Parts: sequence; C-alpha cells; structure tokens
Amino acid sequence: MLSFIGETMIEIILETFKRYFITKQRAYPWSFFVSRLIRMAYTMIFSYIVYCLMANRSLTNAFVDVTSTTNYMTYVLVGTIVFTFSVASILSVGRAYMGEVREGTFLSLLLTPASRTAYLLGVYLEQIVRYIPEILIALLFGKLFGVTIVIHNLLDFFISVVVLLMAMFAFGVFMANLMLFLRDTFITQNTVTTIIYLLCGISFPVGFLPYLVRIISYCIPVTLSIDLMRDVLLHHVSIDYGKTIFLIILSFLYYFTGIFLFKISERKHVESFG
Amino acid sequence: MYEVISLVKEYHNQVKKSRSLLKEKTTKLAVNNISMDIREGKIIGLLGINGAGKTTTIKMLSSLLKPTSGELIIDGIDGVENPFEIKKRVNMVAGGERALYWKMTAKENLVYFGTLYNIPKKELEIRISELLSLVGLEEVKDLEVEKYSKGMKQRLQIARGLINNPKYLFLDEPTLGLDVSIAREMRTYVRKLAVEKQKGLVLTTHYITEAEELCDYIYLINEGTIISQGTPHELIQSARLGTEIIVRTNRKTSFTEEVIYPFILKYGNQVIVMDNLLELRVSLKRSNVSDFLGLLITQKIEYESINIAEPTLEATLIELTKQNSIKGEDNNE
Repeated sequence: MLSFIGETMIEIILETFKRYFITKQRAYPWSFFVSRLIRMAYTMIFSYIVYCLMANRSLTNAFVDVTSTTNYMTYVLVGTIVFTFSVASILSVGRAYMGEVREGTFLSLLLTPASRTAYLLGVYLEQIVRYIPEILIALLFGKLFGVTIVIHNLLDFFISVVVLLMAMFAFGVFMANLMLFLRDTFITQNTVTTIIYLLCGISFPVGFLPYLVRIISYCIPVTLSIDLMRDVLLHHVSIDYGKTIFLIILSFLYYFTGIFLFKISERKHVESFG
Repeated sequence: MYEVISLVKEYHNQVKKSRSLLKEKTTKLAVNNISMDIREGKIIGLLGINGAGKTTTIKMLSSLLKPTSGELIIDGIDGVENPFEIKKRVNMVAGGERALYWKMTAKENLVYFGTLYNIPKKELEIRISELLSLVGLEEVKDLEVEKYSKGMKQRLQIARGLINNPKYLFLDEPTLGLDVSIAREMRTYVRKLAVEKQKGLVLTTHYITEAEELCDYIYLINEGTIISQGTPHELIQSARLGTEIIVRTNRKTSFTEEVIYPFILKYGNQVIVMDNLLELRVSLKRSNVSDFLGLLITQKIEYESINIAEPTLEATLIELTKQNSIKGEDNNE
C-alpha cells in the first residue's frame, strides 16, 4: 500500500515537473533565467560598490564581531545565492495554485484525487533543476570579485542543503496557500521578496537589526538557511545542530499551517468561483 | 446509479453593516432539498436562471463542495463520507476555452491529467489514443492547444473529462460561446457519450433547445429548489400553455374591430391584433384550434397565412419559473 502511494506520488511529482518545464520552456525560454542572473549580479555589484567605494574595503569591528569573517564578498555571494534560490523557489511554489486559477485549471486539479503535496513537490523540483546552472554561473561570477567557495565538510554541506531544500519547500507551501487565500500574487510576492532581502541577512548581518525585527527575521526560514550555508561555506565550522533542529521545526510549522490554510482557501475558492 | 437525496447547501458569509465597522453573519440557502437520480446512459438536464443553484449542485455532486446536509449515494457508496469514491467515478467539463494547459499539446494535457488520476502508463496510452479518436483530434494531438480553434479546445475538454473513464460526467454549459455549427457538433459528441459509452450525463445549459434535443429528463431549478421535473414533453404538458395561432391577412382586408368582434366574443382577451391590423394572434387550448379555424372560415376572412405553433420548452420553463416566483411572493406576504 505504502509503496503504491509512493509510486503514484513519484509519478505525479515527475509529471508535474515535466509539465512545468515544458510550459516555461515554451513560454519564456530565456527571460526567466536571464532576469534572475541579472538580479544576482545586481546584488553582487551593489555590495561590491558599497564595500570598495564607500567602505574603502575596510569592515567595522562590529561587522567582524557579528559575522566572524573579514571576507565580505564571500559573505555576500553565499547570501545572494541562497537568497535568489529562496525567492525563486518560494515564489515558484507559492504562485503554483494561483497560476492554475488563472489558467482555469484549478477546479480540474481539485477534482482529481492527486496529492497536493506531490503536485507542489513537482513544481519545486522543476525550480531546483532550473536553478543548478544559475548557481554555476553565480560561482563563476563570484570569481570576478575574487571569491572562491570551497567545501571542507561534505556531510555538513549535504545536511545543510537538505535542510535548506526542506525549509524552502515548506515556506513555499505556506505561501501557495496564503496567495490562494488572498487571491493575489503580485503584492504578496513583492512584499515577501522585499522582506526577505531586508531582514534575512543577505548582505549585512541580522545582528545589526533591532531586537524585535531580529526575532521576525528568525521566523523566516531563509535567515537560518543562510546562517547554515555560511557556517559550512564561509566559516568552515560544523553546522549548529540547535539551529538545524529549529529550522526543521519551523519548516514543519509552515508546512502544516499551509495545509490547514489550503482547506479554508480551497472551500472559499470553490464557493466563489466557477 | 448516482442517487442524490435531499441535498442542502448553505453559504455563511460576513457582510459589513452599513455605517458600521462591524460585520454581520448571513446565511444563504443556495440549494434546498434537491433529490435526483442519475442513471448510466441517460442525459439529465439541470435548468434554471442564473443563480438558481445549478453550479452549486454540480460542485456538490462532483465532491468539490461538501453539502450542508443530504446524501450522495454513488453506486451504493456514501459519497459524502468517501469523496474519493466520487472523484474516481465522476468528472466535469465546463464551457469556455480554459481548463486546459494551452502551452502543452493535446496529448501532453491528457497524459498529465491521466497521471493525476493514477492511471497506469500502458492503460493511459491506450485510453488517450481512444479518446483522441473519439473527439477527432488524433491528427493534431501534437499541436499546442493555444493553436486550436474554440471547437477543438472544447472537444479536448471532453476528452479530458473522460480521461478517468468516469461513469458520470457533468457538463456545465459545454457549448457556451461556440458558434452554431460547432455547438451542433458538440451535441453529437454528448449524445454519443450517453448512447455508445453509456455514461450518465448531467447537463446544465442556458440554451433550451439544446436541452430539449439532448435531455431524457429535466430538473427545473429556481432559487435552489426543484420546481418541476419530467421529460421535456411532460414538462410542456404540465405548464398547460396554449397553442399559439398567428393569422396574417392580405392587404385588402384588415382585422378591424368589426371583423374581430366574433373572435373576442368567443376567446376574450386572448385575441391580440398587431402590425397595423394585419396580424391576429391568439393563444388557445389545443382542443379549441379546430373551432377557431372554423370561425375563420365562417367569418369569410381572407387570410394570407396561418401559423400554428406548439408551446416550446423555453416558453414552458419561463412560465413555470414565473409561476414559482409568484407563488414564492404570495407565501412571503
């Protein structure tokens, strides 16, 4: 029975992956890819300008104390890669239901007995595959600024990537249901992107934020995901298991809140629209 | 058989009170005590004006909405408790061009929906090929849907609706926005599904002639309640509408007061004169038609044409809905 459920879930994940890949390939073969690379480049260049021209390549003691590094550009590159991936995957999974609503296929989807989680995993998988070449280009781009990323502990790196993927998916599920509940993608996605950029420690440490804002920042899984990746790729220390467990718990909370919201937003949607 | 017993759906909303920040809870009875039987191989019509409760009913029948009360017994299984049993056995086709992925081909669309229904790959391949041939899209199966005409998209929708081989298929305005010839083609497919494939179909439509042509049995809904039901013929009989006779004279004579006096004497205010006294209209019981024609002859009226029209289903439905609304208003008073 369990293997049957597993098999059908895998079928749905793969077929949804294929569908999204084909659709995006036919609709915008390059524009998505290029726009995300531009955003990544923009963040790097902006940080570099601030670092070189305004800070004159010197970091304050406060920065070094909080981040435990003097390698600002690597700090920014790791933050930017995780940020771009987070935003892309959160929004991709997040917009999935509303995309179906706009295509007029949402009710047909609800009519099927297919697992909603499998469907969203398919959307997410397509995003991950699409992101791999972007990371490689980002790393090459980092070289221009003298940044080289080295993995010292492969196991820690693997764990932090798995937890990062899990956290982003859970947050994406939450966002998907929130957007369906609000029946909006535009305002929600722009607000979330801005909040993540400003609060999650992309180009400056969260420790610089006021205490209350810092608490909000740690409620967004992107902050801890960046922390974990920086531990492994920048500080070359073992990952903090306390943070890892907290991030896993946070992910479950977002996932189940999303599932709960789905029941409400599904009913609301079916009652209101044909 | 799909049995629907005393189905009720209430919507609870919060409405802002005027000149107040507070919201008031309101309850709207969208479907009230609807019962019906859907049999395999038959086409059931669900007719009514906008907001009558047709779409809400269909959404409950297809497990998209949970009824407030009532029973859905599908092939002997309680569908309210087991919505997945409904999902396995039903599907829905809505009018309009959406509900398909336009950037994908017909075949890719069907493969995707088939996978969502957990249909094994080999079986799915055979079914897709059968369905494409049923709806006549085999030749264009690898063309992106956005390049299809309206009619082709609608035919593909039917194929999508049949992908899980449902016993019961709900067609919500399937010919909406289609031109006359494509709509006619669609009706042929719908009839084929009932007769050849033995599907139990439920059709909602605003095109009454379509319902008259296709439906074996019709439920007429108004304000969430079934106000009349029967075969199209039974419904027409039940409304007791008269046969309409239209007599046109030639230009030499006209229906002056003097000429129509004997008719008014016999048929009262049923007699209407129109078009500069050149046309006389009268609505009569079928049994009185020959009497009327006899009177025409005895009065020596020189007519150019006589048109005798039997009551249509459309006129019947309008009349029954009107009668029901008047009854409702009387009850409220």
